[in-house]
Amino acid sequence: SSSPVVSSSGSSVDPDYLKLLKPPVPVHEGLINVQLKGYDFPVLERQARRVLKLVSKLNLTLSEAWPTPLRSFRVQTFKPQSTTVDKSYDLPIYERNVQIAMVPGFLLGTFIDLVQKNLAVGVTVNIHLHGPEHLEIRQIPDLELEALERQLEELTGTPINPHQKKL
Amino acid sequence: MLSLFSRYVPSCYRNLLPNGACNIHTSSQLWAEPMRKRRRMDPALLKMREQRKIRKLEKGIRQLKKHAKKMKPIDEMEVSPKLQRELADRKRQLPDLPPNIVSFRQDLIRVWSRVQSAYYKDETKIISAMLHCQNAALEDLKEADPGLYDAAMQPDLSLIPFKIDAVTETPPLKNYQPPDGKYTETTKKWRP
Repeated sequence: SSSPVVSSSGSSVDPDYLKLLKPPVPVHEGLINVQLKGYDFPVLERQARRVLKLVSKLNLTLSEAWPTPLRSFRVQTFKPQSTTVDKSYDLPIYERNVQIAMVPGFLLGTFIDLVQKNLAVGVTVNIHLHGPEHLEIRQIPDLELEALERQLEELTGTPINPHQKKL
Repeated sequence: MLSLFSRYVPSCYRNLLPNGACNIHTSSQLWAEPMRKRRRMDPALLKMREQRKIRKLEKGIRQLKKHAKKMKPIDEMEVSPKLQRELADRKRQLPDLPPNIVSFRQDLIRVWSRVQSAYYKDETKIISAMLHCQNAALEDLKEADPGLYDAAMQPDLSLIPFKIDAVTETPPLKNYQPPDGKYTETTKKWRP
C-alpha cells in the first residue's frame, strides 16, 4: 500500500522544490531577442559585445548570442537624365543577435534604456520576442524534406509545419 | 448464303453486285477487343494503400529529420581559401624595436587598461546605483500600496517589439538632391 505524495504544505501533491524553480518575480514569457543591424561590421561586433556586457551587469539570464548571415545589396546610381550606371556599390547589412530569457517585468524598461544610451553610430536595434523564423533564416533549407512534407500534406490535408512559407 | 441473297435481290441486279457484297452486317463493327468491365476496388484496400504511402512518407521525413539542419555560413567571419593558402607568404619579419619605444608602448598599454578599467567601474557604479534606486522605490511602493507594487512588477507587454533607429554621425544635408539609382538584393538564395 503506497501513501500518496503530500508536501509539507499538505495542500498539493507537487514536491516543495518545484516552487524554487519558479522565478521569484513576474518575468516576461518567452525569449527576447535584441537584434542589432548595421553596415559597419567592426562597430556592430563591438556593439554586440556591449549589449552582452549590459546583460551581465543587469544580472539578466543570457540565453544565446549568435550572428545571422548577412544580406547583401547592390546599389547603383544613374547618370543624370539617363539609366546608364554611374557608380556601383556592394552594401552588406550585418546582423548580430543577443537573446535573453526570463527578464523580470520591472527590468526590461531599464535594459532597453541602457541599450539605447549605449548605442553606437549606425546601428539599428530591434527588440522582439523570439520566433521560429529567426532560427529558420539561419539554416540551409532542406529541399528534399520539404518536398516530402508537401506530399504528405497533400495526402492528409493537414499542414505539417505551420511556419513553413508557402512556395 | 448465295441462295438467301438471290431470294431477296431481283435477278436483273444480281450481275451488278460483286461477290463480296454478300457480307451484309447489321451490327456495328468493332476494331478492337471490347472494353473490360471495370472492377470496383475494395474501399478498405484503397485506404490501406493510402495509409501505406503515408507511413512511407512519414518514415522518410523522420529519417531526414535525424540529422540536424545545417547552418548557413557567416561570410564575414570566414577567411577565404585564397588567403588561407597564402598565410605562410604573408608572415613578415618585424624589425627589432629600440628599448625606449618598447617601454613606451608597454606604458601606453598600461595606461589604456587603467583608463578602461576606471570607465568600466564607473559604468558599473552608475548601473548599480540605478538598480538600487529602482529597488528602493519599489520597496517604498510595496509599503504604500501593495496593489500598485504588484502592478509595477508585472511585465510590460507594450515594450516589445521595440525599434531603435540608427543614430547618424552628422545631420542630414539640407537641399541634398539624391541621384537616381537602383537597389537590388544580391543575398545568396538557397532555394531554386
